[in-house]
Amino acid sequence: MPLAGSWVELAPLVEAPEREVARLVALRLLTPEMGSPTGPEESPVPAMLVLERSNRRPVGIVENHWLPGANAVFLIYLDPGRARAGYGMEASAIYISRLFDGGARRVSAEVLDFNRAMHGIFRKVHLEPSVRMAEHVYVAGAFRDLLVYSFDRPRWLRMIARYRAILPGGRRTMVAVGGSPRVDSGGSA
Amino acid sequence: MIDGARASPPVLELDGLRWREASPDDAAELAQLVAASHADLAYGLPLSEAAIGAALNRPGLRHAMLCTRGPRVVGAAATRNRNQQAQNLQLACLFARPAGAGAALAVYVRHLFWSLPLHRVYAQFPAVPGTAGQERLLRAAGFTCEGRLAGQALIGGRALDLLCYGLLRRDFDRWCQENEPRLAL
Repeated sequence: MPLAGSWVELAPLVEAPEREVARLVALRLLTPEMGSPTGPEESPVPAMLVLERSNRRPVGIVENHWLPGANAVFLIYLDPGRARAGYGMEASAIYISRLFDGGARRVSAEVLDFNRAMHGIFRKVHLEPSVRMAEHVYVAGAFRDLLVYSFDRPRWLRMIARYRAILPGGRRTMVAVGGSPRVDSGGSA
Repeated sequence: MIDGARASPPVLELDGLRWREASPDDAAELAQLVAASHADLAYGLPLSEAAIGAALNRPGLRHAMLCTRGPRVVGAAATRNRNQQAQNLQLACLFARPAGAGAALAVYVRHLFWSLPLHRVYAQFPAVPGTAGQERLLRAAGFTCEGRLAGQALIGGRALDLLCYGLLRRDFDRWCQENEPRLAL
């Protein structure tokens, strides 16, 4: 059953057309903000496809790696050619809540220093990175810093409280629908 | 064309401290060091001799070496999680008395940078007993604290902070120039 927001909905990856998933994966591999691809890892919460709600067109992927101690490392990739501003925030909010519902004790996001889209999402919820690992990743021809955000469920609930009204189940419609410029890069962790 | 610049020599001995590769015969010494340095909690290393002997130079315990002063073993160190693309690896250091062991650890770190194409060495460990000594030891060898992940580690049902330290090759070279020029690469 899909998890629906105002702009996007998340659907099981297995239900998506193979060609669309392959297209997103190929795009993602060429997106420096995503860093090095990691192999498939087992998680109680499966990866999901992000669909534009108005036309059910795939616009991205959300997934996680489950680490010992029920730590879920969250990742999101949005196709910059299709996603609109706000999609990343909404898809992240739905999926991170799903991770906690699925048993995650903590959720982390490992974000490259130049990934403005992802840092922007966390800035909106007033979350600062806990760790900055100097030149920890080699990507796009250079060693880059990796910033780690981490939070537990109570912190997450506090963080999104002010956004709850515009998130799924909230009362208001997102104000940017239709009028927002397209995002300028892949929103990714 | 021949490059006339001299290659820097290996350094495994400094002021009476000597590093050598660990072998399964050292399992008893290593087990004592794991217990004394709380490395079972900090780095998830096994406590039993048999398990340590079996783990030596396998993925969780690479480049395992012992540090001796005369006949006495004073410390050990090993690596894990080497990333060939990003040229980094994770360090585990085991010193029963970390105070004053900074130079010894620096010799081991220097050997890692000297023998491997490494850009960075890092250490991550939960805040368990002995952590303060571990932190001072890493700082004494040139590492800097990169942050603390609150409640990230789960040990015995308790959520503990995870401490993150790192050292880049160029920063280590700078540290050597300022603190121990004999270790400069």
